[in-house]
Amino acid sequence: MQLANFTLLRLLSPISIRCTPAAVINRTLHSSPALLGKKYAKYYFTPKKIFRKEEIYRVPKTQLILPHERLDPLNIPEPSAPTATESGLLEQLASAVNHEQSTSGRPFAIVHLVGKQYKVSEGDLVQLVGKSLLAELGDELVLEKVLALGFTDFTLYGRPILSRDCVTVRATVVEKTLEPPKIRFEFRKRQNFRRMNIHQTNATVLRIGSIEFNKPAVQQAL
Amino acid sequence: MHLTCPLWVRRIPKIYRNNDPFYLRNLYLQFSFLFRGRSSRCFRLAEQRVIKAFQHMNAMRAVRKDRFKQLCDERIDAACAQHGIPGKMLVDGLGRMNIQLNRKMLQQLAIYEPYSFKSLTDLVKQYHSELGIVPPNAEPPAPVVTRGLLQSPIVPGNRKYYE
Repeated sequence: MQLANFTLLRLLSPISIRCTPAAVINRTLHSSPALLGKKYAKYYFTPKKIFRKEEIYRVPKTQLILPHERLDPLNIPEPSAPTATESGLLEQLASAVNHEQSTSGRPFAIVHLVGKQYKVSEGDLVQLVGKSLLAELGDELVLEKVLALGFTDFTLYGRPILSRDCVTVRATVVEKTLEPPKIRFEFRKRQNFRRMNIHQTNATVLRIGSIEFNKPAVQQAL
Repeated sequence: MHLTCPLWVRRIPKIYRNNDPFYLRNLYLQFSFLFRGRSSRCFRLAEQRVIKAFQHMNAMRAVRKDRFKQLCDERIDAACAQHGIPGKMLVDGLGRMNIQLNRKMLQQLAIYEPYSFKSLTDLVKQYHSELGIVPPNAEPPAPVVTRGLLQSPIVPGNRKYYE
């Protein structure tokens, strides 16, 4: 019968770490200059492994492009010329793009990040559950897979992604913590079977900085 | 738990902590903190209720995902019905046009960005009208400028729809 230790639950409160684990390890090794090898490390203070093995996001094979599905770059169709009414509508769109000023409203972007989609605007916090990115605290990221962009007068939808020239969505890594502990308890009656498993997954928190919109690149596409 | 001072103060070595009755009972009692009546205070009742609570928790894990999907589908269906389209038509049409927005994102747009959602429904209506499918109770869409690109396979994954 597996039971969890009472003290375990006390220690597993979420701790927000403001320094990277690499910095902590360096401090301990410099304190014992004569003994740097792994052999003697167990006799000295070793920090607890707060981050479990790094989870690198791998694209599953089912989502990769198969060879018979690959595009021929020569056979992409070109857009046909617009009619009179259509050109009028395109002019309206172009004027809306020109007159767009970020001070009037709050633009939003739909971003694909680590297998999930988030609707995002300036100053938002995004929590990635179960993932610890290789990026360290304070690193600035550019989120490139933008599926949609929205403003006051018009929205842009990508098929499936908008080009990188049109948009830049910036984010910074604010926090790398553990989630609160989750409990998995299995019980089968009349069989003396009880198993308790407490686990904590990684979580990173990003703060979205700005959504920058490149007007000439969009007008070229029109 | 009401214990006398000596019991609180006594120190138990770590080796014997797992076998000490206080710790064995507290393991279940700490989860029964907000239960009703004596199930929150007495171990013999708390143990049963806590085990049942854990079983409910395990069973709900799979159910929670299905319920969230149902909620998303309901909301998309309700928002599309305002434009005269069934919800399935929207999701299918967007997939065929290779606009890969989640159901989670579609319901967010339907709630918070109604004009953006209307433009998506207009795209879907135009796509289906080019194929000859017209939903009966729908208003005609706002004019959509396609320039012949709506039906074409722009990316590899759509090829199966056009062959």
